[in-house]
Amino acid sequence: MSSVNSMENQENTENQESQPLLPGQGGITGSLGQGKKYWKSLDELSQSSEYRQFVEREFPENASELLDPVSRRSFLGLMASSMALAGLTGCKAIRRPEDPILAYNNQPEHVLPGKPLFFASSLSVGPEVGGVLAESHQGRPTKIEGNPQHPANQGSAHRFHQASILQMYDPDRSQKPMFNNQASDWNSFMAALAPVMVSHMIGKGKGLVFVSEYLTSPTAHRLKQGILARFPEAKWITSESIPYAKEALGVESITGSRSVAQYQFQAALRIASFDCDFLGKEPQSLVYTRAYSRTRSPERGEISRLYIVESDHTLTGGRADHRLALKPSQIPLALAALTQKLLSTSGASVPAALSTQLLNALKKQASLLPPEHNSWIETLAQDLLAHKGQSVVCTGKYQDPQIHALGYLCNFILLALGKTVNYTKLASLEFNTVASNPFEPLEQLYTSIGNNQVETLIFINTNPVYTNPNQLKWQETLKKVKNTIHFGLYADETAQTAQWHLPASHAFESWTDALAYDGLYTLGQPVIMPLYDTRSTLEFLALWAGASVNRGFDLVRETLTLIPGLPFSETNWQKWIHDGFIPNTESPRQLLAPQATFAQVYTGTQAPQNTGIEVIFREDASVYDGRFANISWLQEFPDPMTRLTWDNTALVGPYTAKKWGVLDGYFLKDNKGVPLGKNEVPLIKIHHENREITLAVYVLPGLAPDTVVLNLGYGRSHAGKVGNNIGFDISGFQKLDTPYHLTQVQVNPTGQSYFIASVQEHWSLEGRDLARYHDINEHPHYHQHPKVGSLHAEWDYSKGMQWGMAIDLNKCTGCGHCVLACQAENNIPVVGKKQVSLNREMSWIRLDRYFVGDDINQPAVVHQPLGCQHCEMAPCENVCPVAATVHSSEGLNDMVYNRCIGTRYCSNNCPYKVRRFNFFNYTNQYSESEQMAQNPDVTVRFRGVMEKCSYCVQRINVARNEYKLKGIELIPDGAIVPACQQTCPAEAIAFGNINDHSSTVAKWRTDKRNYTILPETNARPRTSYLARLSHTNPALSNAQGTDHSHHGKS
Amino acid sequence: MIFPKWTNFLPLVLVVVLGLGLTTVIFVFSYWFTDKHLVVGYQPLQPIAFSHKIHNVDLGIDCRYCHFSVERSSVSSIPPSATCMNCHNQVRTDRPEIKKLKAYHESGNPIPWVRVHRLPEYVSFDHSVHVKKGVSCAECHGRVDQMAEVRHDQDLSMAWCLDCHRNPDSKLRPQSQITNMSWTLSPQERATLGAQLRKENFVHPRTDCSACHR
Repeated sequence: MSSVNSMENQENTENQESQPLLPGQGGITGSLGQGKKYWKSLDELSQSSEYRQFVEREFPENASELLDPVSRRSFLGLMASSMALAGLTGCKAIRRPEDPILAYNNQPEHVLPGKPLFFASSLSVGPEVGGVLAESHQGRPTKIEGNPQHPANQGSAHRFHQASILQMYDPDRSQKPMFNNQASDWNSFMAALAPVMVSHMIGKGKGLVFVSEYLTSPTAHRLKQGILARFPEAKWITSESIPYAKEALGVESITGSRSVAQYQFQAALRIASFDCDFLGKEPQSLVYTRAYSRTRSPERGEISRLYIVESDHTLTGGRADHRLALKPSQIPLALAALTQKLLSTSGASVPAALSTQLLNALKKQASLLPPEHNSWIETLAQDLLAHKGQSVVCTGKYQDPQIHALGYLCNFILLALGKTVNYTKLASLEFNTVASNPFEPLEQLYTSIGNNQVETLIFINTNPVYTNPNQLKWQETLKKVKNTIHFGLYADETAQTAQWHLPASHAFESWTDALAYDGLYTLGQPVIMPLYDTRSTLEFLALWAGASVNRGFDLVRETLTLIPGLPFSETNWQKWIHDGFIPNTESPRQLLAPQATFAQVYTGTQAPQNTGIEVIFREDASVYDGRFANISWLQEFPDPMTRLTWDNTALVGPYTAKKWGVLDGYFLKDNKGVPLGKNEVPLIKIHHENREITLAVYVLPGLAPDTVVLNLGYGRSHAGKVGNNIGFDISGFQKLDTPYHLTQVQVNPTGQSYFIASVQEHWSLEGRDLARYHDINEHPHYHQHPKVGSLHAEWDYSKGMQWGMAIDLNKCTGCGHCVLACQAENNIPVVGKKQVSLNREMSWIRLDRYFVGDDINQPAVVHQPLGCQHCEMAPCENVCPVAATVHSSEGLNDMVYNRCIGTRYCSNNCPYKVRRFNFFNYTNQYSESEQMAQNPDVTVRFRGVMEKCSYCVQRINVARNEYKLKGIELIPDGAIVPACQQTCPAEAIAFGNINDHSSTVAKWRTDKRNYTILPETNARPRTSYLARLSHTNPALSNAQGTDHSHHGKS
Repeated sequence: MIFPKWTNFLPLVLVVVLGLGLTTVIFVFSYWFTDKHLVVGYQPLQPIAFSHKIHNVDLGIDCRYCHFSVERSSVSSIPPSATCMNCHNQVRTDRPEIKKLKAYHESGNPIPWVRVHRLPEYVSFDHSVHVKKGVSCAECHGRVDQMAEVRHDQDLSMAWCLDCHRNPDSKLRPQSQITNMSWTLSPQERATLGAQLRKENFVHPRTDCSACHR
């Protein structure tokens, strides 16, 4: 590999450690020097011989048999007990076995065998409601897509939505009621329930407590009112482990109205985010991604500029033009400094009673901020003020209410209200407990149980035994409660401790309604009959409320009839159910003004000068708070930033890891200074007060110094066969009073190591820069090598439909919803942790994350999704001995699974390394319900065949046939949407006919930012990329160097 | 001399014998163990003795009355038993086969029809485009109207499919005659008409692998 790059000029990496800039200095770092440096991991920078050995082989050396007992156990553990398809296993004898066709007796309306139907439905994850479409093949849903008309999704589907179909088909879901962990039935439960209910009715509900998930359903709320009317002294508590109320409380403290921000990024030119990961983990991420990505197109004129202040390295941080990585305790100080500047410069509209007093408090806070950051904040303030009415400040859900109040105040001063942000009431918040610390009400419950004040405890879709900090010793405490009932999807940790466990219907098996984050009344219909003997949440609540109707269908309709002013009729009902929502029901915009009382409320943080090592707790990108731990797709989904699969770790920045002695230059080492092997990370022990935890540590460049990020949701004991004992349970380390932030934490490396599976270096291309990132004011020349000839006769691609794809890196945020959509659409199997560590993951889209720049502590980030490039002169096609991969007349590289004999020569020859091989039979042990999740339009692959992105050829074929039936031979642009494009909220993918000059993809291909990767191989890929632009502020730090990302010397 | 003289010819004999043997084996497999011989003529016993001859020819019911999705979907579909009962709740209710039909319909269990035409799972075939472009039911399924019990008429192998895909003219017919099983013309007339239909209806049968293998 002779491509010369600035990075490879380091001859002796061990001695030549660059002095990293002090973390926090000036956002995205300066010294980019001669050429931009793209790297995927510290190991890549080290260029150690071991690293080189690892990346030089596409599939690192390993046996082709599943011999390792650990992997075998975990692999088998992936597959639940299966039921072989009757009659079709066994050898296909020469005489074909008899095989029945089973038609309907009475065919349901609209069903056309062979063609799927799409139904609108909805599901909720915490306070966030998704409006989705379920693709249903004859009553069997196989894929979830976003509902294009629903404003929360706008056609995209979050990875949680995509994976929810597998959750519904999860064989580990509870299938029947359990009493003391023994199988039981609903009749027995009802019989046991009757005397309990009667006694509570007599006692007016004293000692009756409901602990439920965050309710988004108006019907659930109505039933809850009914329950509380029936049992007046009963208590209802919301149990969520991810905070949901801090913003509303913060805005209330300054305006008197419990409202939340609905950011309108499409109108914003300057965005300042304070720990607000609006492209990733905040609610409405799909909406915000779409709006933000649209502001990055140079075609629209001036593009936006994003500043972010955060401790964790999030997707939003990856997209930021300027990023300030601060310790968690310093973020409130930074916002105070900004607010102080805005208030003193431009705060005339703020009531004087508020501003004078507040200014003093803010000045005090700002003075605690280390002075090296002052110029950054000052420049930010200037930039925001220069764009009044087009700038916005956003604050993240983990921040304390006061931060949100300050954010509101900044927006008020910047004239953002009504333009770049609207404040509305979060309608569903009224259905739930409102507490800044979501564990507070549970702590009170815990105390009451201790005082024997609770007789009956009912858990509804919540798992506090796992999610709550272990200071609450639920397992022992629950024994004191006379009756404990758990209602949920899984027999999880709480169900194990409860007496009764009742299985819940999945959202897609129930009639549901919900109020979306912006208040839109969303309706969801079931797309399949309940698979097991379950009841929906509404039906379970109806039991308690003594409702007159007990079917979900009737309950949802009844709620609608009770809403004053709502024109409920059968026609409207049909339309609303069809669309998935009731139009014009969004919460109205609140006209808010800051109140002087806030000055007394604002205390700021009493930040001690030296907080030592700080720890923050965040939800996980794959499993949220742990509820998705058993979904194999999500477990194997590589975290967009760390590229870790299957585990959680403590994330630290290189600077901090070096201080602890686990990182030396670019090498992770154990206590004795011996470098760790590939896929090994050190185990560390973290202490805080009387709690400690031992877990793996992972170095993530870009994290603030002396900060550790811990991800919740792992280490579960009763998640199911997939999710059990994966990762580390963090909840034991959380502190009840400050569950998301700790200071003065001690860390000790243990000297031991832990095996992890990270995909960040898989198929690294050793210095060849595939992602291009440059400043908007630079106009680099993309070396598109002229077409050289070929030994084969050339094909004329100027006629007919020729498929191509363009991916705009300027829009891509790296969220990875495309990866999940592809997995769901194409029946891609899951291989398990050990196989992932051997580069054998099967996902067709590889979402590469590159760090950019010389400073390993403050890198920029670029994400690049790669699927098969469908090269016109594909290197893979030439070398297949059996012609299993051939080129279609429309430009697709076809993969014919039934011809493939597994030589793997094609993937050997592929310069992009986008081909995936089925090393083992990953698909022959699916349980019956998992088999139902497979898409019938796509072959399920067997062991020994190669697979790769097919540009969703099944969708192309279906669309072609549909248009032929209409008599149209040329398919119009936009008729064919591959799964990745369909779900991408950033609209970063364009697919279509490149011979149609009016198509989006053809237009993008002529853009000056367009380039193909590795053009020097003469493969002529049909997939091209548009370079990522940054819009840096010249006043901040140094401008970035010109892009020399192609190998300039040769 | 270790070996007797006749072993001088042994290698030659072996090569010839093996060559002939291999050729024979290949011939046997390619001739006898292919769909043309294994599958053509397959005529399984169905649970109910449904006669296409009676319904299609004698009564004049069009194919599409029962196989309703053939013009819109990839499968032509077996009709639900409710379609049968449209007539047979009144017609010939005394016959034993009709009694069987009624019993299945009322039991809620589907009639276990035995599949006659089966393509391998790695093939995806779409009926609707073929019908739209002028391929009649009879081309692939034979004279079903003359079958008392459905029989596998053509071998439906990939080679057989490609024969038509590479040269569709003699297999095309006007849209009005798609379900007219007895429509005939001489081969020359069919070729001429077919060529004309191919141009008029933009018939470009695909020979890309991904057309059927996806």
